[in-house]
Amino acid sequence: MVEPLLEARGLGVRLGMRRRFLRKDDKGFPILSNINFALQPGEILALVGESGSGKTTLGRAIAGLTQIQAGSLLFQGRPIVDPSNIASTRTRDRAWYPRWRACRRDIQMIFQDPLSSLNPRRSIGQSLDVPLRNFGAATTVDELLDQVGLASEFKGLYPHRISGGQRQRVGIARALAGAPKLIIADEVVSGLDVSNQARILRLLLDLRDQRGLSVLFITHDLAVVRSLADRVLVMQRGKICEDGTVRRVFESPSHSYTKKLLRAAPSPEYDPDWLADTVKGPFAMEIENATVFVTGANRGIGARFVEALLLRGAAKVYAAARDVAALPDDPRVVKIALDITDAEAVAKAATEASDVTLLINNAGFNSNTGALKNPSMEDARREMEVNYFGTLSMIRAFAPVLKANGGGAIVNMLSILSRVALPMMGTLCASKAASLSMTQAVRAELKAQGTKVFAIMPGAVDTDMSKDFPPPKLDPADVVRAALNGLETGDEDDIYPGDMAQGLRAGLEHDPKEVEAELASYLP
Amino acid sequence: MSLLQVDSLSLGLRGTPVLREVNLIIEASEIAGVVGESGAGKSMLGKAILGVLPRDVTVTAGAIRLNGTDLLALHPRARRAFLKRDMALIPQDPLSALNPCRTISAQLAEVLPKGTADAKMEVIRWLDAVRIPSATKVAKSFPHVLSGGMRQRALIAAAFASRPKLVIADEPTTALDVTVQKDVLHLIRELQRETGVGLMFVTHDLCVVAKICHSVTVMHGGRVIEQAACTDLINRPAHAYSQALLAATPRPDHAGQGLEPVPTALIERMIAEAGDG
Ligand SMILES: NC(=O)c1ccc[n+]([C@@H]2O[C@H](COP(=O)([O-])OP(=O)(O)OC[C@H]3O[C@@H](n4cnc5c(N)ncnc54)[C@H](OP(=O)(O)O)[C@@H]3O)[C@@H](O)[C@H]2O)c1
Ligand SMILES: Nc1ncnc2c1ncn2[C@@H]1O[C@H](COP(=O)(O)OP(=O)(O)OP(=O)(O)O)[C@@H](O)[C@H]1O
Ligand SMILES: [Mg+2]
Repeated sequence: MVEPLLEARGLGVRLGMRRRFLRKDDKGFPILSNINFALQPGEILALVGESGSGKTTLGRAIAGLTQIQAGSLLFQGRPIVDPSNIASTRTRDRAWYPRWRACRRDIQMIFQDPLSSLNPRRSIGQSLDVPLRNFGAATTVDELLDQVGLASEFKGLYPHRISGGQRQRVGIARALAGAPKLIIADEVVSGLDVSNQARILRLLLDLRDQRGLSVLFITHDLAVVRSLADRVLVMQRGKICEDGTVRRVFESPSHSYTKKLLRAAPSPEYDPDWLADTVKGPFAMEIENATVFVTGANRGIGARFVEALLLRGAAKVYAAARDVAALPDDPRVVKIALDITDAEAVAKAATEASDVTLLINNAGFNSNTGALKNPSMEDARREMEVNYFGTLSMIRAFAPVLKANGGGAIVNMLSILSRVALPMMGTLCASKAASLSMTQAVRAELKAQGTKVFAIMPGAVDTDMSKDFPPPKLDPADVVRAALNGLETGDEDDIYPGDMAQGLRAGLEHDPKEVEAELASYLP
Repeated sequence: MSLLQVDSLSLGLRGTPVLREVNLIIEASEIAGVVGESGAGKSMLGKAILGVLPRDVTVTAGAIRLNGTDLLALHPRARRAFLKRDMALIPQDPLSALNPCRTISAQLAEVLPKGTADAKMEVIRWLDAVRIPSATKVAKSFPHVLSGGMRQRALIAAAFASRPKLVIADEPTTALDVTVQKDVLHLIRELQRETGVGLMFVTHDLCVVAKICHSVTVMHGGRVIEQAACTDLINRPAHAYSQALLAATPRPDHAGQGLEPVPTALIERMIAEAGDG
């Protein structure tokens, strides 16, 4: 067997993970974890996945532009990064650093729009001359231009004077200056028309055929992958979910995400029905015409649930609260007085609302204290009483109702704190973790009767409950929207609204201990 | 009477022609694709219709009628009023189209029809409609914090929110992921069906055209090369250039296509036949 040109073993990258879970706002968490793949000499390997899945981060990590924190990266069988020197040293004095510099010549990256990376004051010729001299290459600028199919007249022109397709070729020419073995091409044909795109693809194929160049081709265009690549890696949320030959992956995809991507890639065949053919996920639950029961409906997230359900065409909404005075007047709303810790009242509600198809367990209580700070145990008990026992007793009472009405669904408003412990709300976390565990058990038990059970796990939300919590906080209407959109598309039964929840989720997949250490500093 | 009728429109850039005798008809409730390679004049055609041509590009001949009104004969101020009320653009470059100093909510509220009851709610409803997660938060954000795909979707929302009669969409989904692209295209078509607007859909991508357009205009060098119903253009392209464009389009369902550009010989022949280099 030929030795791979490049091999990644358990590669991991974290960006700004430290101290960012509770502070970060908009940018996603491009975390890569446990990336394994091999790239053979002369192979064109495509990397596909949606934006934010980590494609560019992986490309940058391989090109040495982003720091790698875990695993090893081997180039021609020799480690350029390995775990032993990751933990102990800082970037600058890592033992592998000189070796990486040597590899840099062999690994070059080109970006979507080379206009941003070409100096506007330098002519094309000057821009190409710099790397040639840096690498001490014997090649001339004319030869480089010739390799990418540009006439030598281009030497005298400036970047803004040439077309996007031509600029892209100048970008490739520059990458070729050090005669690299591997080119990482990030979205290099996006936005180009078919002719310019074909010229670039042809050029990459020719470079491969004539010089044995390997290419890691990052794109979101599946049609291009089909024509160009030998093999394809599919990335989802920082992980590789499928790896195979292009033919195998396109003809018999095994991962559900790959299937979803392929269903969304249009072919040039006239078909006006294609757009309407949106295949629902396995957990899809229709909101329109559903009869819904919402607890804690008088304020906060619960009140937003009632509004959104009416807007989305629910047939009837039982809005339950301890104090019914604050519930909205609407012909489709039935007001129910209910304390979920009162077993009799819960049983009565289930008899009264015998037509329910969707139960939303939203009511919750948060004492906002630490496990030891609070002088009394009362709050901790109350949290268990409401968040765990209350929710469980609702489910026990309504499971037969849902069964009688054809299965339906249960939505439990949990929290990202069901999965991580935040010491400043130590006892709340315990109650929410208990509820998650119970949710999973109930999910399994109710499967036979066709009842879907969803866990909604948002980060901090801007309601009374979290009024002292520092921003950024989610808007409660956005939490509801994420939950209901999740039900309607049905891709997953665990739903994580907002960046904080998604960041922590990714962090847990990557390194749970690191997350624990991070949250440990948030003391009561 | 058609919604939009472009008659023999020619544009010039200091003497050199940019568009040459372009004819185009768009009916209400129609999605009319305009395709062609870079520099074909697709965006210029859209700009001419919207009355936002670059300073040095001028109309040298022809007429543009919207519901029978000749836009070129209108006083500039009257034309702007027309434009504001009846037309909307989904631009090729989303960043330049949004004001960096104002929130998305403010920019969307501005285009809502006069007398919209709850503008804030309506803005969020539109953002939600274009599948923007956390619509409430995004509404309060400034454009620079949003990703390209989010901005693009906000602009699609803005275009339809103004309840126009004609929408000109210039590569509206190029920046989007495939799954989002499919959602957004579906949404554009649903919105278009509900509101009955006419849509000019400018794109490089014949795959997208095949799924959403009713009619297609193929352009090259500022000229119309072929105009046909979408099914005919995709299944039986008449002009050699349209055939070449289709052949150069990569496809996800089989390998090997999209690796040859439109042949230079064909382009040279077309230029020679047109008789003006
Ligand atoms: N806010 C956040 O940061 C956040 C984050 C993640 C998850 N969550 C979860 O989201 C859910 C809703 O929270 P929220 O933010 O909307 O909080 P909120 O504004 O404090 O509302 C809590 C709701 O639960 C009701 N409730 C409490 N105990 C009850 C009981 N024994 N019986 C019936 N209803 C009871 C409250 O009713 P009263 O008005 O009668 O007290 C109120 O309607 C909770 O499960 C919470 O844990 C919140
Ligand atoms: N601001 C401008 N001023 C003068 N001429 C321009 C300007 N923008 C474009 N042109 C010229 O007008 C012609 C048509 O350009 P247009 O932008 O309409 O092409 P297009 O078909 O939209 O291409 P693309 O697919 O790349 O967007 C080209 O020859 C171009 O060089
Ligand atoms: Mg254009």
